[in-house]
Amino acid sequence: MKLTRWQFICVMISLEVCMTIWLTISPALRAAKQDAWISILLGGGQGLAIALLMGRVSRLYPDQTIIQYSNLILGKWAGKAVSMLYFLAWYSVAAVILRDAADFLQLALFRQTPIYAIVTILLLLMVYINYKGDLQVIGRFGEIAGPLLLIVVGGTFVLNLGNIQPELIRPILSDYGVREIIQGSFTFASFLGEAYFLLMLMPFLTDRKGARRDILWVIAITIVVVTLATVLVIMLFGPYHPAKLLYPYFYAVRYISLLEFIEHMDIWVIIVWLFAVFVKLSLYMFICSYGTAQWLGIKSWKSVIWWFAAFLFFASVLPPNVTVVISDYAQFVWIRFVFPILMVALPLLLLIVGTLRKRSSLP
Amino acid sequence: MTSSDRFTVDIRTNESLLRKIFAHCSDIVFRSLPSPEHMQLLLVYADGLVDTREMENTVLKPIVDLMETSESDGNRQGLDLEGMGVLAAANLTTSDEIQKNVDGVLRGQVLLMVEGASKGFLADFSKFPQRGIEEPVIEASIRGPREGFTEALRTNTSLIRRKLCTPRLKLESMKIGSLSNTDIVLAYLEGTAPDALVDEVRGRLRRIETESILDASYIEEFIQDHKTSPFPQLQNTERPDTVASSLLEGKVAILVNGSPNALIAPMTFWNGFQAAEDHYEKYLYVCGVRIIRLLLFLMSLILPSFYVALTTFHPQMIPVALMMSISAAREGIPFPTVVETFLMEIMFEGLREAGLRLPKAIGSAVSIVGAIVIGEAAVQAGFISAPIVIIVASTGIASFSIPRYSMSLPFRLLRFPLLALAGTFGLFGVAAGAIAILTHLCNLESFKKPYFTPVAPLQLQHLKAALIRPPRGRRGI
Repeated sequence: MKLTRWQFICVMISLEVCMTIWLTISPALRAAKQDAWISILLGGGQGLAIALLMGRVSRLYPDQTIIQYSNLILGKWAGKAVSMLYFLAWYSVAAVILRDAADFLQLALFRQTPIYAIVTILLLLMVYINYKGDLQVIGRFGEIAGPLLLIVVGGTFVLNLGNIQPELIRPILSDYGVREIIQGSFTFASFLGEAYFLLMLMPFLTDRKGARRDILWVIAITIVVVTLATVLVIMLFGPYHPAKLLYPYFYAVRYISLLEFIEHMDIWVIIVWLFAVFVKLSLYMFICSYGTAQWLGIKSWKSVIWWFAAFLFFASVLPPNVTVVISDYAQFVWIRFVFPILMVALPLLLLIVGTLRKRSSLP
Repeated sequence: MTSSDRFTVDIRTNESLLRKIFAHCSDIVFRSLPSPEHMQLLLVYADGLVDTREMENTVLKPIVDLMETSESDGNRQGLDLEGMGVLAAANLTTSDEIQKNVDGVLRGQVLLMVEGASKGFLADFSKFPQRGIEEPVIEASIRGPREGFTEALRTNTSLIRRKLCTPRLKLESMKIGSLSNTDIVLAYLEGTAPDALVDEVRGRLRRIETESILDASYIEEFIQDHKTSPFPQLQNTERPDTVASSLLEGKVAILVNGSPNALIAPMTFWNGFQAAEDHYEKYLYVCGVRIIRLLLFLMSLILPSFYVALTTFHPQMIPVALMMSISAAREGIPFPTVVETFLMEIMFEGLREAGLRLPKAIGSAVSIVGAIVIGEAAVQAGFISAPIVIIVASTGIASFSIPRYSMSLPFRLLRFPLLALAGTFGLFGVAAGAIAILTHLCNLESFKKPYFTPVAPLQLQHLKAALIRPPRGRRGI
């Protein structure tokens, strides 16, 4: 069970790009209107800092997952508590992403297919790749999904070049102040904070020394892609209309029309995007199952997969509608709790205490 | 009879032993020569496996001459076959174990027994009817060698040896099957094929426990990594040049006596789209053709399910003009699109199967029935819409374009579950099916080599060779 450098990069790109391009553009537009792209860049800066922090923390005990070394650094009970917090975030966000993706697919592709059918199919696929395969197979799948996603997204930018009106991006920095721009940056930054996968994946990497550099590359590429997508959305629709949309980028894709024959490209992009989301969900399933097994001291992590799948099913089918899931979770849980505590405070704490411990244990 | 049973000095006892072993074997011939008691001689061989004329010239004549001379000399000694220089030509081996001698007879050797010697002499005169070397049927090529393997193992190894005249080409032989005792040859280029791979294949071959091996495909099923996968994990070929080029790539080949198919391991997914001819045609053309092949294989897998998904779930994705003509064609068709597609696909598979089994003369009748009845009449009568016929026919053509027959089978098979998914979940179903297939391909391994490499896991240095064929030699000569 090892991930090569390339596999790690591809997997991380799939999971960062697919979510950010989908859900972070709209909040940035709402807060900062035509300056949203500056918000995205700013959030990207925060994301880079977080990724650096994650890299530093993982380097403390590169052959262990956070579930193990949090015990070493903070002592058994505090360590277990920290792991527990991470599990809370991972379990819940995995369920939210699954539900979101299913809702989105239903919206884009279906009329009356029930949500639980879509969720079940996705879950079966996730269980299949984790249970029959392992992390390596997810890595290999990511090698196909990641580059494919980048190529397709790049293609949508190019095909839309004929439709853009560059003057829509002006005036820059005059209508809105710094506060709005900073406000708009948090969603994107918190999504980039999913670099915390490194805390779990470090022991599985073949190139542990280069992990920090690789994750920075991933974040940088994501920033470029999302900034371009934001600029594209603004230049196509102006700042006001897309702020009301949930998924402005996909509307931008739908705008493509070539020869009056190639239209409705959004569905193809959604299918490629689904590949990347599948990578992300499978990886969440892996870290949750593997981490839970470590936390409870269960020998075979694969036996946890089924429990996790059952949890995901109920947790993702229960919420009544999509606004509860996207807006409420993002606003009240993700940005206010997960982002500051799990992506900044706790890694910092682990880094400081861990470094001190290592120093004091050295002669 | 155990392997430790041995012959006695008395030739009569030995004969009755052998007769008991070969009871009711009408093809085993026992020949004794009319000769004095102390020079009794017995020949045992399997009729039809032995070149009798050669045997008589090389063995019997010298022995009869010897008998006559010793008769006239008044010599009372027994026959000393080993001391006779004349028999050196006959490639003689000796053994006193009954089992070994019986095996030899069954393999087409002649067993000679003489009075006073407690061992059998085996002379190799095996010759049996076999097919000549012909052009391979499945993998015909426009350019390149036209010889194909036959059912005779020696012929096949000689074909490979002729292509690779180097002592580094190793042809290890072993026997598998407790009843059939089939000869098997493991071929590899020492120093080119990784030792770990050769050891792995050898180990897996040795671990096979079975009564009989009737064809190379038996071996394939025994040693492949994933028994339940529809994808072939060993490449089979009738072409010596394909085997030779694979050996040069560091793979190993397995040849089985009685089978014109050689197995090549490890196989990757991309091998399924490389024809033998790719090495002989101009490389630019080959690059183009390979790209077309990949498109065609995608078509053969998902075209019907795509059609179903788009027309039933996402008509807005089809350009208006096209959708209009499809709707017009579907006017008054009684079946839903899914059912229609299923019916036509099954019909097509039926036609293909029927054409495969029938003799050539009747085979053409099947195609006429298929074309006229299914194609024309069904559309005319309004049972089936014309677009479906087009889709199914295109799918058929696409699946025939896959160069390796064994690679086209999984796609034929997987088309149906994808159709069912498309009928229930539209494009999402097709996407889910594609994810499942891709996951499976990423998970597969053939002799520790990932099946989907060099794409996933990525190996840049091999990527070029897998997808296109780079030109040979340096530039500017």
